[in-house]
Formats: sequence, C-alpha cells, structure tokens
Amino acid sequence: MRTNESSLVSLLSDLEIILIGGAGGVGKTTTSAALGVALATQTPKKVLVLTIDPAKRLASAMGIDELTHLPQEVEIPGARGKLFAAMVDMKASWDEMVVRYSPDSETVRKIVSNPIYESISTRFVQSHDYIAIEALYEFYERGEYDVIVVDTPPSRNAIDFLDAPKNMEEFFASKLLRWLTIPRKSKLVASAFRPFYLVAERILGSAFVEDISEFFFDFQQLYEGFVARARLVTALVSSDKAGFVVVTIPEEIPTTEAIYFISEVTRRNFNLLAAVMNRSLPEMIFSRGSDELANRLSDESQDVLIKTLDAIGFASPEREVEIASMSQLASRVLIEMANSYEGLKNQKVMEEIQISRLPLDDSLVYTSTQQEGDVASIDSLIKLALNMSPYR
Amino acid sequence: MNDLTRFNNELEEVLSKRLIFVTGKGGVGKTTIATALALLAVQKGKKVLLCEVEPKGEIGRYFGVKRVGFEPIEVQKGLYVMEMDTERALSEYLRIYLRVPIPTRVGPLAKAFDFVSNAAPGVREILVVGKLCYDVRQSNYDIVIADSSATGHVVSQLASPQGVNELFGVGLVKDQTKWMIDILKDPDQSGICLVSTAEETPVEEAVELAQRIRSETQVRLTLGVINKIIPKIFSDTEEVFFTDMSHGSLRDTLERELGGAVKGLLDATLLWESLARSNQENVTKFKDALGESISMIEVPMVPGVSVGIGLVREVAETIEVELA
Repeated sequence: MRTNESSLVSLLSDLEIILIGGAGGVGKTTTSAALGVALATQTPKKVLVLTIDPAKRLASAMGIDELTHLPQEVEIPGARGKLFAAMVDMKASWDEMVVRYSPDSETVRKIVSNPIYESISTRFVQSHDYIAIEALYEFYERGEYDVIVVDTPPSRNAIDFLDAPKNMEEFFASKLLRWLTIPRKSKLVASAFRPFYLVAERILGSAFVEDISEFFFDFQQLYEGFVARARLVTALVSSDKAGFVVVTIPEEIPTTEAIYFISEVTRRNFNLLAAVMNRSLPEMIFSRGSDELANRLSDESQDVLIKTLDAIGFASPEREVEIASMSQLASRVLIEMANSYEGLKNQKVMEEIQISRLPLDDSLVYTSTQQEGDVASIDSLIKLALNMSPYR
Repeated sequence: MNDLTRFNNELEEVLSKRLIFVTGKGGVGKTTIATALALLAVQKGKKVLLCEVEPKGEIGRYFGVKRVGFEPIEVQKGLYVMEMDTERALSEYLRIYLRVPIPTRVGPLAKAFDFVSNAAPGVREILVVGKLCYDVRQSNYDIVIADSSATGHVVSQLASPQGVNELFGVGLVKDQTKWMIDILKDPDQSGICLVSTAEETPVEEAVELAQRIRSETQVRLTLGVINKIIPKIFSDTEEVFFTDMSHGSLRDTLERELGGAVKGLLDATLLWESLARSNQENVTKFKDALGESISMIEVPMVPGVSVGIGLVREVAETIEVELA
C-alpha cells in the first residue's frame, strides 16, 4: 500500500471539513468516499464521510450493508488512519432538532404530531440542504473526527445548500411567518389578511390552512435556537477549517454548473480547494504518432492497410482462413481500432475544453480516470483515490 | 401490450399520447431525449408543447431563444416551448378557476406561496402536473412533452393528484384532482419515458424509479431510453482477431508494419471494448427490470459531443429508426 501522501491529500490535510459539490450524476458521492478513503489511508487521521443519499453499491463497496445515522467504521487494510461513514437521516435529524430547540416537551409533541411536520421533515427540498449542514455541525461539534468529508445533497441547484442557514434565518425573521401564524394568534387581526386567507382556504381547504398556521406558530418557538445555530454553521463553513471541492465530468452542462458553483463559492469568500474532473481518459493512450496512424488507417490509407494485411496474412499461415476473407476481417478490425482511437481522442479534446473553462488554476484541477466497470470494493475506492492526479 | 394494429409502428404509438413525462437521474440526457421526441412529433405534423419542468434554459439554447418563460414560445413551426414556473401556474389557475385577478408577481404573496407550496404536501407538485394536464384537457396542443424532474421528485408530482385528493378534506384543489387523475391514468393519453445512461448508478436509480412509478402512481411507463451507450464494436470473430493483434501472435507483425504508435490504438480499443462490455451489462439490467411490454430505445453516444441541437437531431433519428 502506498502511504506517502498524494498531492490532493496534502492539499486537503489542513482541513477539518471538506465539502464536495457539483451537478447531479457527476459522481459526487463516489468522489467523497474515495477522498475519505485516501485521507484515512495516507494520513493518521480519523475521517468521517457524511453522505445524504448513497447508492447501495457504494455502501457495500465500503463493506457496509446499509449506511445509517450512526457512523460505522469502514475497514481499510493497512490504513494509517481510520474511516467512518454515516448517512444523514432527514427524519431523525429533524426530530433531534425539534427536541433540541423546543422550550418544552409539549411544543415538541405538538410540532411532531402536526401533519405538516411529516411533509416538511421528509420532503421539503430546501430543508434537506439545511439538515445536511445541521448534521455536519452536529458531528463537528462532538469533535470525534479529525476530518469530515461531506457529500452535498442533490438539490434544485448545487449552490442552494450554501445559503440554507441564511435562508432558514430569513424565514424565521420574515413577515411571511407572521402572516402564516396570524389565524392562530388572533381572529381579529386576521381580518386584515382576509383576502390572503380566503384565497388560501378556497384553494387548500380550511382544515389544511389551520394545520399550516398551527404548525408555524409552534415552529416559531424554535427561532432562537435555530438562528443561533445557523450563524455558527455559516461561520464554520466560511472559516479556514472548511473548504470546497467541486466535481464535474467532461461534459458541457455539468461543467457549466461547476463553473457557477466555483463562482458562488469564491463570491462568498469560502475556501475553494480543488476541482475534480471525473471520467477522465488516460493521457498515456494519446500521442501524435497514434493520431497520425489512426488518421492514415481511416482516411487515406488503402496503401497502409494493404501492406499491413499482407504482412498479417503471411505471418499467420496456420490459420485456415482464406487470405481474402482474412484481409476483410483484418481491415475491419484495423479501421475499428482507428475509429475507437479517434472517438476517444474527440472525447479527450472535449475533456480539455471543459477543464480550460474552469475558472481556477490548472494546478488545482485533478483528473480521475474512467474506471472499467463500477466501484465495487474498498480496493476500487483506493484505486480511484490514487487515480486522482494533478491535471498539470 | 403494444396495440400495433392501430399504429404503423411503436413511434406512432408513443406519439399518439397526449402527455409524456420524460424522467431519469440528473445528467442522463432527459432534456435531449424530450426535445428529440418533440422534434419527431412535429415531423408527424403535430402541434407540440415542450416544457422544461426544472428550467435550466437548456431548451431555449437549443433553439437560440435567450429567454423562454412560462408563456409558450413557438420556436419552429408547430413546436412551442415553455419553462415551468409554479408561481405563474398558480396565478393562471386562480385566474381561470377563481376569477381572482392576481398580478403575476406580488412580493409577499409570492413569497408566502413559495414557502407554503414547499411545505404543504403536494401543492407545488400538483401545480406542475395540473398545468400540463390543463393544456391536455383544453386540447391546446396535440401532445405535451414534459422534460420532468429527476428521480423521486417526479413520483411525488405524478402521485400528487391522488395524494391531494385524499389529504384535503374539501376545497377547490380537491375538486380539481379528478379530471387530472382521469388524464393521468389513461394509458392512451399519458405515459412516462424513463431515461438512463448505461452506467451502474443511473440504471440502479432508474430501476428503483420504475418500481415506484408502478406502485405509487397511476401513470403508465411507456418507453425506456438508454442514452449515451458506448457501443460494442467487434463481432465475435473480429474480437478473436483483435486479441491476436493486441496480445497474441500478430502483435509483433503489427508493430513492425505500423510502428510503435499502434500501441495507442490498441489501448484505445481495449478501453473502448471494456467500457462497452460494462455498458452492455447495464443495458441488460435495465431492460430486464423494465420488462418486455415497454418499448426500448438504445441511443449510442456521440464522442466529443455532449450538448446542442445537432446532437438532439441525431438522437431523434436514432429514436425513429429504433421504433420503426
């Protein structure tokens, strides 16, 4: 096992929190796991990988049946450090949060039993962003890990979760919340807002509007705890202790999203550490000589083909295939080889174009080569981690 | 299942529906597939509405339109595109059903709505589905194609009329759900097109999504698309011959004739073949999970191209051939 630090690991090794961002489908979760494995393998640290919604195979790749709320140790033979993995459980995190910030158990009971709570705590997309950050802070505060790698949640927009604490705080302070809770507070004042409620009741039904009002009235009592925590979380994420790694693939749309992510991270003065280009093609395949050869074989090349075919034909007299059909077969194979090379070469050019679009120094771009098959074991995660190499 | 007596081919059958939801994991090419289907429908002389449910401006870019909004724009003859906006859908709804004139964007109400619709089960979802169903019911278009939300979200959307119907005691929303359900559960009118790439995670998610669509919604899964497949290039005989070239008796001859540069070609071909093999396994997994009653389209990847109307047209041609 290689124990000297790779350059990406040394780049990350001063940090306590590493947030992995990027578009859906670029391999964020896998990259988070691979970085966690790399850190635990190459440094003596205790590492936690925190994910929102892992593919089942990924859990089993880490030797775990199912990821849960409780961190489980991942065995890595010969590692210098330790690796743990956990998944944020939306419902459980909401429950904990309500308990933590409620003034009394009666408030907890009322909030938790409201039908609105069920949908807020399990489906409210914006709340996923907040909960991810909240869960991160929770683990950080306990201080049991040296590094926490966070796989950011899939959201409408990769950047939403950066603003989650601020949005939560704004929501609590907003007129909106006062509006929503008016019917609960006073029937009299409510008359001023009649148009709003009339519309709401006609659309949604009055029972439902009552539930909403009730829910937010109780929910408001969590305000102080929430806001205090949201500020701490924001401070933590923007401190030197935390940094971002953005993941993309050699395609235009995910890279455009990565560029947006980078600009938003930079605009907020957060710490941008590196970009990882997944599904990169190995540089060593390509050379000018091979470019030319592929070109000759597929374009002008009857001469080259015929000459090669002759040579092959004479070289394998033991094959009981007629030279003519043999030549046909060989020429098809040679042309396909040239096509494969050129296809991958086009892909490589696309990759370079996408890398050049990223608004950060080339030295901060890491490539991770396309894997044969999928990530299926700790070994493949280690391989993936070692595979991440500086682009330039 | 496929009632081919009424149609010349599977493509006609698919495009005979009034409402198609295109869904799948992020990054698999939902927008490309939805747009390709729309182009094919236009080719058949249909009036088409193509809706980007989670607007990223992608479809606008295909047709060189800077700003696509909630109001459909005709980007070419017979093809109208729009971007979903739940706030606007709500005001349209209020205008039509309550005759409450509401300006398109009133600050606090919009914000209130934004939050409530996020919090309240099914409100945002039903507005999305409701808007699309409404255009079907009014026969504003021959076919409505929705470039829908990714995995998970789409189930809540499609299940929302039923859910809301059960959850809301009374109210206008409840009354409105019945006709939506009628449209959605009629397999002649509505269908889902499930898109995946031939990679493990998207296929896994697609298979899971197919199960949820079948158990939690009333909308029929009509079409499966495996996008960006790396195709296998060799027949078995060719494969044997290639192995002789790459690892066997012909390697030396090959290097002598073509020079050391041939190694690049051999490596590229080996990599291509290994990717194609794992792609093929995932294609099989996807097909097995969806079953034979569903039309299946395999779209090969175009190396070096990931976006643009050129790609969409190429994909449209593939679909036409595959469903012929």
